[in-house]
Amino acid sequence: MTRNSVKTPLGLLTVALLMAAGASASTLQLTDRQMVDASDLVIVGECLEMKSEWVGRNLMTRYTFKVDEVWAGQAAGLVEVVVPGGADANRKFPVATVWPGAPIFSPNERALLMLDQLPLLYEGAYSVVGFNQGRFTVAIGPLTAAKSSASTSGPALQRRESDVLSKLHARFDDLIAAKGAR
Amino acid sequence: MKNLLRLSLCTIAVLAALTLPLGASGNLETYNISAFQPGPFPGTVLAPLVDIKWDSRCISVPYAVNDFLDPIPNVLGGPPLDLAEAEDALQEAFDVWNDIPTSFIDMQIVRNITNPNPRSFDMVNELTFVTPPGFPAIASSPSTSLIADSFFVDGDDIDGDGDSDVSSSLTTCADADGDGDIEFPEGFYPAGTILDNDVQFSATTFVFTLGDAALDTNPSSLDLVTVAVHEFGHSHGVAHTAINQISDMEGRGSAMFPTIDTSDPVDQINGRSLHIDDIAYSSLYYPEGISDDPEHPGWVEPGDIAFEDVFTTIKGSVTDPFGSVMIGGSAFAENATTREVAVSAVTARGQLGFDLFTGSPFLLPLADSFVDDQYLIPVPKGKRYFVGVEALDSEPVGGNQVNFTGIIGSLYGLQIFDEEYWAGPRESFSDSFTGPRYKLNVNRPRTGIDIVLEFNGAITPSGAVDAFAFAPLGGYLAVRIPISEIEAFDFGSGVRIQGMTFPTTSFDASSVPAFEAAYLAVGVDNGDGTASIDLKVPFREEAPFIGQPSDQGPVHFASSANLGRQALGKVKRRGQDFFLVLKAGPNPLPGVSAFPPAVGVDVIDATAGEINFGRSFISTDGGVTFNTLSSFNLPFRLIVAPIL
Repeated sequence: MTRNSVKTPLGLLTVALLMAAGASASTLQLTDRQMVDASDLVIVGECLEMKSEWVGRNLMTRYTFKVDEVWAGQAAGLVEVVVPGGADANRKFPVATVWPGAPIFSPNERALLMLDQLPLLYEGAYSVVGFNQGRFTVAIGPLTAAKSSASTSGPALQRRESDVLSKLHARFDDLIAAKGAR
Repeated sequence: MKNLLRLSLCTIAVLAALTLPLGASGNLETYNISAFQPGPFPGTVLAPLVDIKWDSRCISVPYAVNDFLDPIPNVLGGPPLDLAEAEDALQEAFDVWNDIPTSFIDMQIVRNITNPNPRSFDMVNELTFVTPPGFPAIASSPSTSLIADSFFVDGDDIDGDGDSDVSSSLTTCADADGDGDIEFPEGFYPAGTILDNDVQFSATTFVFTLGDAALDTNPSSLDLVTVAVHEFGHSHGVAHTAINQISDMEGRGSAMFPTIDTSDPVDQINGRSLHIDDIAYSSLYYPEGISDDPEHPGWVEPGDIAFEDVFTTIKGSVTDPFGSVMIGGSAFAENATTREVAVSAVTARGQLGFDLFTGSPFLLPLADSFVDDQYLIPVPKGKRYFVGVEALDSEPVGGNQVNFTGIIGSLYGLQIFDEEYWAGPRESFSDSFTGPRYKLNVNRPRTGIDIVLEFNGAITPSGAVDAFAFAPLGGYLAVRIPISEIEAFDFGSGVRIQGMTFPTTSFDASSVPAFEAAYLAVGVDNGDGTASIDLKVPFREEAPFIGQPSDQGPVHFASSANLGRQALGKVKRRGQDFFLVLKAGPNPLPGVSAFPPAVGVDVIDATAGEINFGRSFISTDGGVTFNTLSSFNLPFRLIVAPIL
């Protein structure tokens, strides 16, 4: 926490904008500002599909997101996000590689994503900033018609999505604007 | 696909005996597609989740240290780290787990390898300081495991490198052919069996230090043993836990709590050793005394203690007030004598859909998203416990940080309830917010400890916590709760005023967020930007008040129905409102930074349409004058429930 805190006198309180309580044993815990600064692209998108694949002798998962909103950077149409870990059932001995704390998206998941362009192996693809920290689930859509129900769709869900997005706008808009101004 | 079908048919008889769920707890999970039960779409199957762990034939687990980087560079410009010293530290971290007398896990560094490349699935368990470009972590411990029950026969190539990974001449995992990778003995291995674990440490971003003298507050340097102890927990399947504060007097948490405060030397020292939560899970999954065979690692040797001599289990379900299973919460057992949190467990055992062609998991309808509604908490026996449940709501830990079952609960938005305790025979959706807590004697396995979440709600004039703030020393923070908002919970039989919560944190992970007092008081909003609050005779007072780090710290009210009945009428008659008040005092247990504990605030961003509710106040003159806060809403919460 001490590493990342931004302490600004504001009236009678001293505020440390939501900062890390330390470093995760797996990942460096990032402040909102650090996440924004580390992002090449910030979008709201819906996960359309996912596929595990071998990259050399490592299992990775490639997610395809439909871009609904671009908050920072440039993107249109579809964006690919690659995450370490995955599964392969089409081999003699089906296996999965699990990375503790790595993001796993669900098809139809709508999320705000802070993305970092991946070097080398994945031209045009992105990783999530801070492992899983740059992922903010907004909603999970229905998977099948049978599953579509009051709990996962309809006005209540739309309100919830709207609320979540409003809060995310409030949290990140200034930081994104400040980054753009730099 | 063809292979998979063959495999499933071969093993179907074994499945019936081996896949009985044991209840969810604190292990990393993977999919089990063995049963080949069709999923909701063509080409998909149901994939109940199973724990990942080493087969007993692979224990002791052999590891190789990659010596490609020797010495290990120092990115801060200081002296590099000698690999031999690092290797000693890594074995020391392994031994922290190996030395648990009730667990037969054993992980040993047996040799070195020279590998310029990052880790891969190669049947070599590697400890390496080589990481790929853009590596996002301090360290990681990925494991590749089976996702279907499998029978290995002599000559099978498990990792697909063209080299045999199975030998009929072996009874334990070993490098039988001397080519550097590990061969497995012939035989049956269930889904979840770990085949390969590697631990990577990022020397390109961090400096790993050794010994107390090297500990500092530089966030880019951290103790290697501390990091390794945590990662090696993952190496044998132990998941993250939500325990970050053992008690009101003890700020340390479990070694498997997801974060380490790199600026807090005490937190790093704490992380070198295990909490009972860590010990319990390693022991539950690798229990000493499980075998009478002296060749089995679970045979009790001198120095070992049988798991059953020390531990037993608490088992039950958690459901919401409407009877739906709570997937991915965190049940916990708290020592009723010491009030220390002992062990926590993920609630229910999840199930996902799995696309056989893309290797992708997906969420199933909620009703199909679990295969077992039970949690299972291993606890030291012969003690009395309070049993409770808290949400894995990212305060302080989210379900997506724990395991796949946690991810299901998180994605479905189930983790939105307040921490509460099991009330024994009186447990119901309307027992009380947190009690009465029931002391459970645990000398033997206890089952049926079924928690029903309260039918209640929180009143707060604020959004979510998005920053933390220090209150001035001796200052008061207050939030007005209008009587009308409480009355809205009255369905005709009255209201319970069950408790209040305050979002708190401590600047140093090893210290507890201690405040001078918390009050439920009454007062009036004067309508001129000030409030008058009676702190001399509060309805309820807790002094000192110990919060929870990065979480909502609760204050529980006894006689909640009486409080609702008597206080509500009295306050209403006087034309007053309730106020939730927090008093900041000197921190009795300061950490290395000496900063006071902090309070969560909702920063008002007018450009985003956020409004100042005008219900959050501050006093810096001893509580005489309360002024409206202009930039913040305070997310203090009053917990109320209808009497049903």
